[in-house]
Amino acid sequence: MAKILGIDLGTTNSAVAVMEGGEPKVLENSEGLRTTPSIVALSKAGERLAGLLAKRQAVVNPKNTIYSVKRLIGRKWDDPEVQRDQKYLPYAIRKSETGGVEIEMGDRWYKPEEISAMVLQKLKADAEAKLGETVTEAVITVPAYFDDSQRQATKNAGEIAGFTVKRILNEPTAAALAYGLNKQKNEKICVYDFGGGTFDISILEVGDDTVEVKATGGDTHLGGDDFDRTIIEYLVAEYKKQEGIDLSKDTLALQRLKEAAERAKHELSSATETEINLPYITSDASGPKHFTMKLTRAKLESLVQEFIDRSIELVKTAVTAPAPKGAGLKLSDINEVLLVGGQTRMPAIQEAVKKLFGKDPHQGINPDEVVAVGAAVQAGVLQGDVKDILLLDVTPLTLSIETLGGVATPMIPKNTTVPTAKTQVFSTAADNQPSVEVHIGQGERPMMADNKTLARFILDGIPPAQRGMPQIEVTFDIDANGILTVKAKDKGTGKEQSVKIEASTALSKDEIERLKKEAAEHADEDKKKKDGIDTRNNAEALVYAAEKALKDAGDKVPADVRSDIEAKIAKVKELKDKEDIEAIKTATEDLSSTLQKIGEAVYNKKDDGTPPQPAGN
Amino acid sequence: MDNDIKKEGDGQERPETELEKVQKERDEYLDGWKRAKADFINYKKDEAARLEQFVKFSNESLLSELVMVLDSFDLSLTAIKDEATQKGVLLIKSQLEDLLKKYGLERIKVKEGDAFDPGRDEAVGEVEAQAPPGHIAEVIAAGYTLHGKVIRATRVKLSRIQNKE
Repeated sequence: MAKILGIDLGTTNSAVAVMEGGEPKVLENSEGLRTTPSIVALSKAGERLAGLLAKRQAVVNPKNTIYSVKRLIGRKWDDPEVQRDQKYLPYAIRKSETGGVEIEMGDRWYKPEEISAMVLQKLKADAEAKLGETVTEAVITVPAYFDDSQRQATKNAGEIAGFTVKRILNEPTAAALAYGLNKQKNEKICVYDFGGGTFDISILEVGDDTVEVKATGGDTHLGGDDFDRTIIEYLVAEYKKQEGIDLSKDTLALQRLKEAAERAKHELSSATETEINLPYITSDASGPKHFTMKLTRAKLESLVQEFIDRSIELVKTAVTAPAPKGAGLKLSDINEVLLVGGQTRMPAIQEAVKKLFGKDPHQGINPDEVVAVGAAVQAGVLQGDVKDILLLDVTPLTLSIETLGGVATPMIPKNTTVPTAKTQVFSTAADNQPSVEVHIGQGERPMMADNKTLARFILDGIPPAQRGMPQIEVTFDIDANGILTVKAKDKGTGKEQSVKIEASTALSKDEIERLKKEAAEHADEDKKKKDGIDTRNNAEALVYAAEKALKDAGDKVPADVRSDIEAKIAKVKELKDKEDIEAIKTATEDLSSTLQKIGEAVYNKKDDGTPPQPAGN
Repeated sequence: MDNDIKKEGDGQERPETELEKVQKERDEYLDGWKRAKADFINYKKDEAARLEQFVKFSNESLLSELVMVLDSFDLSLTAIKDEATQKGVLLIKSQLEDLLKKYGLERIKVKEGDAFDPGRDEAVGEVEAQAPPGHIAEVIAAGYTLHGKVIRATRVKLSRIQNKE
């Protein structure tokens, strides 16, 4: 089935995600990156470029490099935003015949949707290359404040790029979808979206599978770029104070400073202090000059505090101001807070938002990708009609078999997708054991007695043999309907026995939760118990091996060694059923090391008392 | 169900319809099964490819940062005038470069006069120069590839295009 792309068509960067195997997955572009600059250019060589390649030549080709077209799409020429943007955009725009905006690139005038379509085409081509199939359908996101004309223009851009646009989705709604919040009932969600060039705030109300936008706000000219610029300006000013050299005119120095500033910003998200170290940043009459400066998180935060404060004021307005400026709510009415946009990685922003609402914002999904992920989730809903009947169940709890000492040995772990099967070979615990009991249980506790018994049966007719010799093959098989079949087969005789359990996955939800909770509560004591059993099992196995070795070696073992070992065997046997696990461990280790004397004695006897030479000497 | 039977009227058609229904179901299931199987095989291939990529590019962030150290070496070499010191630094630099080469990092070979290629180069400015207009006039900082993927484009200044008016 053809896939539907989820596209976050951003002002500065775009991202694409798709549902694969029921999970949203962000697709890398042809440059191997997960976001693509929303930039288009006509290069000086006359070639049309999109994405990173367009960005790489923007400096030398400003008139024909078109960025931030999202600020223009679907707007009238007379729109105050357009008039404001016109002043700083390096490319030419003019009023179209219909009163809209036209952009000059090369010797042609384009509509904003045509430019957006070129970005979308690049995203489409890269996605197709990655997926290895043609993609013709898409869900494209837009800011919640976009009006009909802006939405229609965005849809047109999609169609020009060769997509059937299945849905134009609000960005904050996409974020809510990515976090699965659309299932909530009557919740009010605040989405705080701090992008590279824009700051958007949206108040959503979720109810009965619908998401309503109650209010929007923000600042279309406030973004992460302001943070970077402020940091660089500070670094340049500080350096001028220190060395008396102005770096702002030096392209290479500025480039290096910009990178260092970005890195420092990221580092200060986790560290409280970082050092910016740029050797040979410039030179003067006295020789080469280096740039070294410590930047603390506190300093960084004080530099950008005004931007954070402004964003918080805008949030307050969007939540509390009466309609139409805001949602007319109290801050305490907000149930969930979502952070979107790379800038929200900054701890100071997370703190400020948390302080405002008194609750932790949702985190976990990459804030650069969360909108694209949400668009993919929406795409998945749209294409999901066939998927539903193929939904596969998972085992809610671990299915185990009881082994020596009452231990529950897992056969099929919880959360395994069914149908599935697992086979494991077991053996007997005693010499000449004529039968084995197969005890099947369900639950997370390590001891079978604490889990729920599903069935037991006996496989008999095992011919007499030493313990550990018979091979009993046990198979657990769960079909797509959750019916568990357990089969035990003696590989020696071919004799087999089986049982079918109908309700292995049909536990009630409460029961599953109870069993999981119990497992978590008893984790520590269970571990101790299991350690005890393991130690006892080891002790028992060693006693068995020791007795067998003494018997096999016969009179080759000197009397003193024999009595020593026999005493130690007796000690282990005596301790084995007592409570002191450490004592059992010590006695077992002691016996184990003494046992080696049998080997020495046997080999010495063979060689007439002369010890064998080490090999290879 | 009752309605269906009445509508069919003719009892002879019923088995056929049943059969058709079952056949249709069978086709659907077979198709679903084949798809699931194909999905799984494709998934395994994808995973293998992804793992290969993962191993290949697991050093990417480290190497990207080391590129900056190489930049500093390049800058120091132009700043150091003492020949012996320069030679020493050059040797340390090539020692590091050789080592990084083993992990797939290669310097992109670009020189003045080459045509500008945004797939490989990043223009940071323009200068008056001998090179043909729009061509590379000056290499500011070397670019690098990791297993063929550009992890840092070569930073270049281009020769200014004159008489643009």
